[in-house]
Amino acid sequence: MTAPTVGDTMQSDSVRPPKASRLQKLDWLWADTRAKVALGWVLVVLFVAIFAPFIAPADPIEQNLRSILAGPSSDYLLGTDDIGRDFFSRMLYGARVSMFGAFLAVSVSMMIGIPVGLIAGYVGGVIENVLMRIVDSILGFPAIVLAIGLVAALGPGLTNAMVAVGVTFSPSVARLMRGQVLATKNHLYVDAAEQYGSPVWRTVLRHILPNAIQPIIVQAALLLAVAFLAEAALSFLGLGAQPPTASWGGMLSRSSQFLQVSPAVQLYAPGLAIALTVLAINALGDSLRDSLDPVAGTERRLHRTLARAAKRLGSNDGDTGRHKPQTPTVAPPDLQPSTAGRARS
Amino acid sequence: MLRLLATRMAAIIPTLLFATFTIFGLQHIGPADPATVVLGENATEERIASLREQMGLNDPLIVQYGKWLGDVATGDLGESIIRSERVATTIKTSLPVTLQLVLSGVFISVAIGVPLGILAATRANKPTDVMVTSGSAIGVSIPSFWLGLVLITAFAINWKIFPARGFATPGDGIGEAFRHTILPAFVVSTSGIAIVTRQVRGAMIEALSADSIRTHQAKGLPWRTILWKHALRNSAVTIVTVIGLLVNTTLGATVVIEAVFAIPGMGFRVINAASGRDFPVIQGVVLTYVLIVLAINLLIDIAYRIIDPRIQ
Amino acid sequence: MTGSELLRVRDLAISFQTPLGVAHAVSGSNFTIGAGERVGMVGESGSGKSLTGLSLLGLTPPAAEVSGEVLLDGVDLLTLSEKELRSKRGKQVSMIFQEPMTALDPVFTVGQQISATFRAHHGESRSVAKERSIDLLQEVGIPEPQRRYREYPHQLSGGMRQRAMIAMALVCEPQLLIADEPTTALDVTIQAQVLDLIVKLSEDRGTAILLITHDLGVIAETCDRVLTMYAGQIVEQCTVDEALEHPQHPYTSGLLAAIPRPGVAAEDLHSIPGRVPPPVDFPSGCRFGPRCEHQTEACLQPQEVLPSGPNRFVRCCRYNELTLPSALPPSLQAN
Repeated sequence: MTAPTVGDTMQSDSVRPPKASRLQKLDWLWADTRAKVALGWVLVVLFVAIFAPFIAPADPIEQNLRSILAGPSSDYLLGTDDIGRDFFSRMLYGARVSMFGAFLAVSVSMMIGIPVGLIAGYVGGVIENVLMRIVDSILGFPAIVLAIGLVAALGPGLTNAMVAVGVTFSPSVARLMRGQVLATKNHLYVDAAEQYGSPVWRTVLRHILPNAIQPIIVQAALLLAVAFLAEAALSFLGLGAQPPTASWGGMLSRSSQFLQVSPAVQLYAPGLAIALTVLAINALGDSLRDSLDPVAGTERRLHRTLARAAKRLGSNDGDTGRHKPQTPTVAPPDLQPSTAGRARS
Repeated sequence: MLRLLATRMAAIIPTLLFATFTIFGLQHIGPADPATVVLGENATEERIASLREQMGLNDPLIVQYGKWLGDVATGDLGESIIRSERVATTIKTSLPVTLQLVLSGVFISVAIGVPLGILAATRANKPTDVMVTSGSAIGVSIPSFWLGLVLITAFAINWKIFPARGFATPGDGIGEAFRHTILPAFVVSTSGIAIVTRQVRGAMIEALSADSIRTHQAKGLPWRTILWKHALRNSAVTIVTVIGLLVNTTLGATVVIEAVFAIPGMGFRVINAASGRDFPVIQGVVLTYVLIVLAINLLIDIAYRIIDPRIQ
Repeated sequence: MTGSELLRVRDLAISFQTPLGVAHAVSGSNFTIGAGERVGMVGESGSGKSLTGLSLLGLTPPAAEVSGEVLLDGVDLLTLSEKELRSKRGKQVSMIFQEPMTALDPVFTVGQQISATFRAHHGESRSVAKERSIDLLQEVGIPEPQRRYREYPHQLSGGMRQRAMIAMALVCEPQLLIADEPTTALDVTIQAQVLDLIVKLSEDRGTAILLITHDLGVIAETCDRVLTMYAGQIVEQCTVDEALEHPQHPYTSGLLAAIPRPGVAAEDLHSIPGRVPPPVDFPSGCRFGPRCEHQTEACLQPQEVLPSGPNRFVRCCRYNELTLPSALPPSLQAN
């Protein structure tokens, strides 16, 4: 082996994280057990929601008054409710209602929030101020109260209720969108100079939206979970899905009126279904967020590993030697408070 | 300080106006006609028309809104369409009930959430932390009304410790008030606990990784002091912010829980009002909710300035 | 320089497990500091100097594996329990840090923080502690100490904050003060003042100083002896005069060349080519070798610490062959 020559740098080229390709977005899915389980459950619920009419053993609104509040049996897997309807079939159809409602709410929030945020962020000035003031004031108070008010105006019903919920979500979407637009707008000015002559709106669509859309997708996932809960709550209160439509919230409401005589499973089945689905959607949203972060997937993990290593080596740039406790998520040395200024998004 | 109050109050007005105008306006864009609601579907055209005239429903929206505002300023919130009760009276009787529930819920959320958050922060990424964090995730996913029903089944029906329905204020005796409040307050607090825990954990982790912690260690201060006196104090701003968010969330939670436990608070009233399209009540209650939230935000703002010397 | 030995560090080694291998942040350090002595530790970032400083307080990160002996007044700090260490921190040995704005607690007043140190080690009352703190604020040259006592760190200027930190470090009259880059974050004009203050306090109180910095010029102004660190090893130990006039290690000589001087244009300042190797990837021979102009076959062997003069050590096998550029003006160089 030849002797190193003068001036040779012994520093190996720092490991460059791989650019996250589109395919790598699926990486996170396989790598994360939690995400896999969550996705599995959500798919099951979606499947049930779509194919309920084919799977359900009985008609969910057909009453069999000779057999009310019966326990589970071979005829009725989860028993019957207070007017003799098959609980299991109602559970299956309830998935439809909940899924439909949740997606509707999120769609509405996006349809309102994205344009508002886009306009506010891009146009700026007085319009931005006014829009944001409105947005902030709506964000200010309990969403459910607002939703109830809207439902009162529009009339009870699943669609109305979920549109109302969507409206209450739209301010947070608008805010997020505006923030993203503001963040990318600065880059845009540089591009704009280069793309002299390209119509503004096209540049906006081609440059701002693709970058801005990722956090919106994460937001959508998390809103889906909340919308799911909201549908259940509103249906429970009688303001959402109306009888005889089966919905998990509504079924709980009925069970609650016959609390002492209903079969126990009829109390737990809808509640657990809601809880598990919301949990699963939340978990998916979290995984999505972890991977679609600006520093995507593997890059982020590598980043974290190197940062942790650098920190442990106690170089003065990142030197925060302490005896306990061990700091878990480590800010890379260049983001330490001592070199203040850059906030971590 | 006074100037602060004045500016904040001034900032509140537009929000208030916007919120109430929206709710006011909603009843007019909706398919329901207040006069029809009062008289019923089968009333004759003429009777509906004359009642509309009486209720001033043919005036432009702005005018109606202005009149309503004027009435509110004098304390007149109108009368319920369904029950012949002044809205102001309804609110007067239901507000204390809701407040009792909200405050109890907030108290429980803080009392459980803050220590849990600190615990998770000091054992970050170890099994304890994982348990706490997972618990929080579950806490926000469980539908509160379902939890309420489950607890009612367990505590009220099976073990007969607490009552299943109804409410009692301290006026009815502290013991009774406690018995009636504890279950719903706990249910109301579950999502709050999750939020508080998560925020406190985050704030404490950040505070504990500050350079000043190392300085405190270099001075020879015991860990106990560093944790409770210094790290906690540095997290105070975040914790106070969370409490603001907490009140908001808890208020929302009480609406549903009042229905589950048949507690005669504002949530209960507004739900009934919504089913029956009782707009005066809805407006009055929404106005009250908005006022509460704004008041809380103001208090939080003041609290900031007291806690953190850097904020002027 | 007084006679008695205050601190003796023997074969200090600090290493970490990293995903990229074992990192030997500090390897085999041996040095002493006498009572009242001012010793400088110079090196680039990543040289292990900050970690060395932290190890003297037992404040290395939990993941660090520390071995060797750190004898403070005869007691090995590395064998002490946390409780015992705590009683020494701030009282027998203190440390001040680079960035006073973040090192001080922003939600407590300056005075409270100084008093807290005092009361942690002496069970005195609040008023006694307060008086003592105000005295100290005065001593470190802060005007209107009573007023400053009640102020928060963000209300003070950078220089005053650092003085306050010094006050905090000295309030319990430690025997050794470790200063980790105390002036790096300060304005140039303030730097000189703070350094003078540190020297003055050391002389008045007989406090030993370990001044850790990357700036050899700072050490030249304030210290009696200097330890040059490179890639986790002490490569040279000598007096400041010896380092300035007759450096024996090429790295020390290189550092000298990088000190800004009157008469030398900034562009002409010599910088050492290459970079410090990562601690997981040290060369097996002389760690400075790849960047050294004078590297030979012999340098591929691990370099031992060699005595090279009265109370002088160097880690270079060629020290008596080489004549290295010093800080003397060219006319006086090269003998």
